[in-house]
Amino acid sequence: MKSPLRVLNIEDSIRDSELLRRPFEAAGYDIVWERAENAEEFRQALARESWDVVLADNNMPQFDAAAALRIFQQQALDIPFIVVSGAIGEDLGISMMRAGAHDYVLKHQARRLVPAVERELRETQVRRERRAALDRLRESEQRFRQLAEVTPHLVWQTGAEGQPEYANSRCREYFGREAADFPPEQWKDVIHPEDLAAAGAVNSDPDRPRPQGVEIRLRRHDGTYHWFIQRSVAVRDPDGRIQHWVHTATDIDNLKQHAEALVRTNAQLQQFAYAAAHDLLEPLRNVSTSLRLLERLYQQHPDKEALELIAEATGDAHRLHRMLSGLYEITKIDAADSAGAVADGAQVMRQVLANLRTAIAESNAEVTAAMLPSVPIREVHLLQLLQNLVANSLKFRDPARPLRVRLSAERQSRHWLFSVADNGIGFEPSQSQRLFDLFRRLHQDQEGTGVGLALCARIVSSYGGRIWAEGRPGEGATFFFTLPIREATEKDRGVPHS
Amino acid sequence: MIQILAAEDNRTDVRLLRMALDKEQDWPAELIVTEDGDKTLDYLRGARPRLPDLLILDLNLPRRDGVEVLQAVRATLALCALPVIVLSSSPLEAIETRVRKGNVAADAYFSKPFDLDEFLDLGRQIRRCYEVLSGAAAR
Repeated sequence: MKSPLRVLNIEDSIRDSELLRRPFEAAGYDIVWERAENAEEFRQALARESWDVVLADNNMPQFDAAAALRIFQQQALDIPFIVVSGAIGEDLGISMMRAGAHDYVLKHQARRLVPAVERELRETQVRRERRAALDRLRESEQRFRQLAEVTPHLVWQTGAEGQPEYANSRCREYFGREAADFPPEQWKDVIHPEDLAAAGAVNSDPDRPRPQGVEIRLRRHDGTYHWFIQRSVAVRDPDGRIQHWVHTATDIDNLKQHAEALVRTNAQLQQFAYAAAHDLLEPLRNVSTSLRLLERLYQQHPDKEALELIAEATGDAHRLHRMLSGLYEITKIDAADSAGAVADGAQVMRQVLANLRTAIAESNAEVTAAMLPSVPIREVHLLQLLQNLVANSLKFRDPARPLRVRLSAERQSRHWLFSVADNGIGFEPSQSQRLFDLFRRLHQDQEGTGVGLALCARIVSSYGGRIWAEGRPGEGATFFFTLPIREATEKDRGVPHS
Repeated sequence: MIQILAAEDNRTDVRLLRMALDKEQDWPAELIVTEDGDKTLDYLRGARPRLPDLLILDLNLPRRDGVEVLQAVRATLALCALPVIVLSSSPLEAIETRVRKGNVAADAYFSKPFDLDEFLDLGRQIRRCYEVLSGAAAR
């Protein structure tokens, strides 16, 4: 394939222009050739399209090469400008080169013309590439600076030996130091004394890589400490030698404060639950037992109305007792102490069936379970979960048909999906979220305290799972929940025990 | 007749406890009641030459609570062998956890039943418990 070449020739003689053109055609170029006779044509041609090279004749009476060169230079084009002349003295050639022409060639040395143009084209190409690389570098540098300046994080860079090189404005504001003055020579000037160890022997090795990040407190210019996640990453040259360190610090003070507040709130909640279970239970128990003693007295001197009132009050006291006990159970659930725990689904299911034996027999229900897996949660929690859900199905059975409850589990990519499906009375779909609210009962005529499903929700969420229900009135209900998948242990992989 | 000291500030519970023990007609017991932790320890320390045969201890006592009383009992040479039954309102598991946190142990733990009939059955259970602890059952 022929290489394209676009030549703008300043020349008043058509014949000379043709003569100049021939060697390029002979060299195999696919030529676009335009001839300009005067300054105006030259300007227009330059403005109209782009050229690979300008060949300027120096022997034109009203428009010589020097004038053309001045026009050419005003355009700031990076293409070769080569002077071609019938007769050119060394002096003229040198002065043209000094003025900015790339080369000069004598007309009778037309053999030299093509190689001269080719060489200039190559050099132009090299120049362009170098300039583009510099532009890219400048742009990338600028982009990095812009990013570093707009980011809310503290960003600084040090040399291989830890010497200060750059610190973003956020960093300068926070520490109240100039970029050249950061990081300081003594890290203990800015890191909380208790966090120096976490920051990793920073005095001896201030730039130990910390790509994962450490949580440390950094001292602000006003002397207060804030929590940060600090990371340090080495920038290496192609041989693997460290050139720079880039350090970032992300303010997590708010997060930390919220986390601490959450821990405090949880502790208070735990205390409250204990108070509810104990301190409230005691006077309630007094009320209940006193009522029963009163009942005994009245039984000796029967008074129908008094006995009815006592029975109602006793019933309420018992209900309140069950609610308080349920509340205590719920707040006691904590997955934190479940490390290493495994609950065998099949075994737990057998326990559930044994515990609910009487209720199942009384409601003439058929409860089936298919291959429930072992899950990494405390056995008592899986028992409470399954038993409460099955008991829920038993409670809300439809008297019009025999109750069937089916439990199953399906392994999904990130968790087990358990389901408990029944053909009971179901519920309004709009109520599906409220089912799990504490003390809420959808069916007022049913016995219950509204604790069971809230307990299930608390267990599932404490293991990072999700629980929900689907159903329609008269069509039964299906409860779904997710639990974590047990990590394979050595035993599971069949590694023999020593 | 055996002597039982009940550290209990709840008057309803004292009444029920008395009724429960009275049900065991062939096991006559004298019930002495102290209403707070300090009075309980004062009584025990001044009870020479005869110590009570059994201490029934509530955990939620005014002044010194039941765990502190139990700690003091176990740390006193003259008292450390006294059989102690903890009888409190919380769920059984919470009672045991609370006592264990004080680095002491009682000889038995009961949660006060919510139901009257179950409460009145405590007399029988306390008796059996005492008989096991004192070895009387073997005789």
